[in-house]
Amino acid sequence: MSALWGKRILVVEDEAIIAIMVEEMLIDLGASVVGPAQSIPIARNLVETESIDAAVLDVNIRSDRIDPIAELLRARRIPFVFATGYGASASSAKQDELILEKPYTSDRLLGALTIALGGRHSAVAK
Amino acid sequence: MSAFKQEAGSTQGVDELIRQLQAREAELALIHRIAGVGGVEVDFRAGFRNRRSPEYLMIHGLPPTAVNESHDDWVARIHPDDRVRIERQFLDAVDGTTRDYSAEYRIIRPSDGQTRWVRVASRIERDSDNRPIRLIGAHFDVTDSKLAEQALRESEERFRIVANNAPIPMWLTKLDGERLFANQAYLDFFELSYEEALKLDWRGRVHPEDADRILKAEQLRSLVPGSTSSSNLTLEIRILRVRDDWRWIRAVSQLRFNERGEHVGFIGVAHDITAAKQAEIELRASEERFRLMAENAPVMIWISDQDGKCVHLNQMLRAFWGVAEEHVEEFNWGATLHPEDASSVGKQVAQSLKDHSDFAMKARYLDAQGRYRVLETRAHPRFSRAGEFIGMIGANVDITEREEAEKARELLVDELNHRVKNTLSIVQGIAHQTFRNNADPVEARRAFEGRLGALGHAHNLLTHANWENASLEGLAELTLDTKGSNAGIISLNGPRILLSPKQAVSIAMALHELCTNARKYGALSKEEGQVRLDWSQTDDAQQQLCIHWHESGGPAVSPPTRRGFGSTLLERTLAHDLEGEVMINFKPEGLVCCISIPLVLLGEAT
Repeated sequence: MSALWGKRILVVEDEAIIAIMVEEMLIDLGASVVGPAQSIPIARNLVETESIDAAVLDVNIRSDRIDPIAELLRARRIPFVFATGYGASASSAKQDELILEKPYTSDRLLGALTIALGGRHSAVAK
Repeated sequence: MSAFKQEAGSTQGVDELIRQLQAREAELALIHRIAGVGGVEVDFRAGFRNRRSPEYLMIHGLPPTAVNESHDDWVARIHPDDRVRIERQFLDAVDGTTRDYSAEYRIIRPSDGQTRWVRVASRIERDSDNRPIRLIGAHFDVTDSKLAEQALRESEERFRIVANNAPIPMWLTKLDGERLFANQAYLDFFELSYEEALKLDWRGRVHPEDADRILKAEQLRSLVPGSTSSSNLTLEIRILRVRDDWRWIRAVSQLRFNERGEHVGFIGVAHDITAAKQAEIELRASEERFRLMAENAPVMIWISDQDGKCVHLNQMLRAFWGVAEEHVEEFNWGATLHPEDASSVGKQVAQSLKDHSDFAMKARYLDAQGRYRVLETRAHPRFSRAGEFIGMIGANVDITEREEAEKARELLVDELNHRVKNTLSIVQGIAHQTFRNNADPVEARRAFEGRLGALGHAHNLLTHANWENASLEGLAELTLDTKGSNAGIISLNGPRILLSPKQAVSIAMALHELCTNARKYGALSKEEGQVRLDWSQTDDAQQQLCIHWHESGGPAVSPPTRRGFGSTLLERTLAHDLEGEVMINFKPEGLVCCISIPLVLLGEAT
């Protein structure tokens, strides 16, 4: 049983094929998915209306930065991980916030989210 | 005097006469004393009997007892160098017929052993047979004037020796220009004899281009009153030395004064500066060439003094800062520095000025148009010939474009990296879905390759248009292979529409899925099957794009029992990525798919 069992994970990703894959990865890990949201307004709406345990945020959503959504989540103390193809330096991650470099595997997604949720990945991996 | 007494008539008259005579003699003696005239009388009638006056004794340094000294006493007193000649002259004069005898000679004065010059002028009285009776003469001590005369002669001799040994031409002239003297170098220079040199018309030898300058300079000098050193005249002129040999000379003419301070003429010297002048002309030409090069060079060149102040800026740098040539020296280049660069540049320049060392740096400066430009500067210290540090010389290159290009390149590499990773993620997603939903590995591989192909077509088109857009028609043509295997089977019909990269990728994937589905289960599974792809665009603000996929001539259609990745992808991709709507109608006569997407999305860069 993964640390994500029963958790509600928000996915913000503007690329449908990737969104579908992440969604399926999370479902396979026992989580349920909020979204996936393909734009900042949709993501904002979901954060404000849905119950969310953690989030996976693509850094660039269409031409916008994800920063307002990250800010919103920080304010609500909802843990999250960034996912980006730009490399670590391109995100506005604060200390202790995790960055997943695209493309990533299901294992790495699990590890990052487990750490974000306050668990220790080594204890739950495999 | 006793003779007068004896010959006198009356005692009364005689006494009076004697009294008068004594008074006259006293007067005469006084005059002799004042004038320094020594009297002498020589009686020849019985050998040489001398009588010397008190002034004579003083001049000759003799004691009062020598009043009647002998001829030999006199001869012994004469300076050894003059003795024989003077005694001979005297004896010849006495033995001859002359009545006037004069001489100048040296004696060694017995009183103090000094050598003194004596001049004598005398009269010899003779009888009717020209025999000498007596000599009456006057002696003067002329030592002082003799010494002065000798000093003058020696001085003139020294001048002559110095002048003749001087390696440069020298001359003396009178006020009227008549040449009094020309030294050996002068004679050598013009290859003339001394007499020819004195008469040389040098003005006739001056180069025509320089003649006017001489006249002007001389006129100017003549306006300067009298006797100041500022009246010296220096001229650099060309002069014809000998035939065809023109020389540059620097002639310095100074005013010449006599001992009373009267201007009596000129003394001149001339340096042959032909070699120096030639070098100077060549140097000037070389300097001019380098100045022109520096002035017109396509880099910014500057020269500063030892404090870092501008001394020279070339045209390009003046234009960069908008400084007029005459304001270069007061121009404060430091004020144009970008505030963030000012302190580091200031430090580096100060260090270089202190160490007299090279520096190389990069900084932003405000140009005349008010834009900050990045200049790369390299500078070297300058030293005078004496080795003294006199400032820096440097060149600036505007590397703004290069810097921007580097930044752009970095951005491009970043962007490329991002796209590659994004594409890899999409490929990962396609693989994930394809292999997850397909039990048959061969089928799965074929489906995967087909989907990668569709992705590739979209990328190709986008790459051709600089990743800005792709035309719907071109995309459909490639994805559906309407010019190849599907020519005459799939028809395209619609206006020219440009799709964004994201739209292009999603629509390519969607068309690929529709085509694959049609080939497997739909119209294209039969030979007579056809597909019509129509599209149109609304005029409203969202510019809704409507794409109709219309299959015909295939087998009878029934809705599928299970939804595969194809339809999931189709519906979700378009809905998710493009905020579009997809309607799939499984009509028995053929599948119809209507895709409707807004071409203009909020938040989507165009």
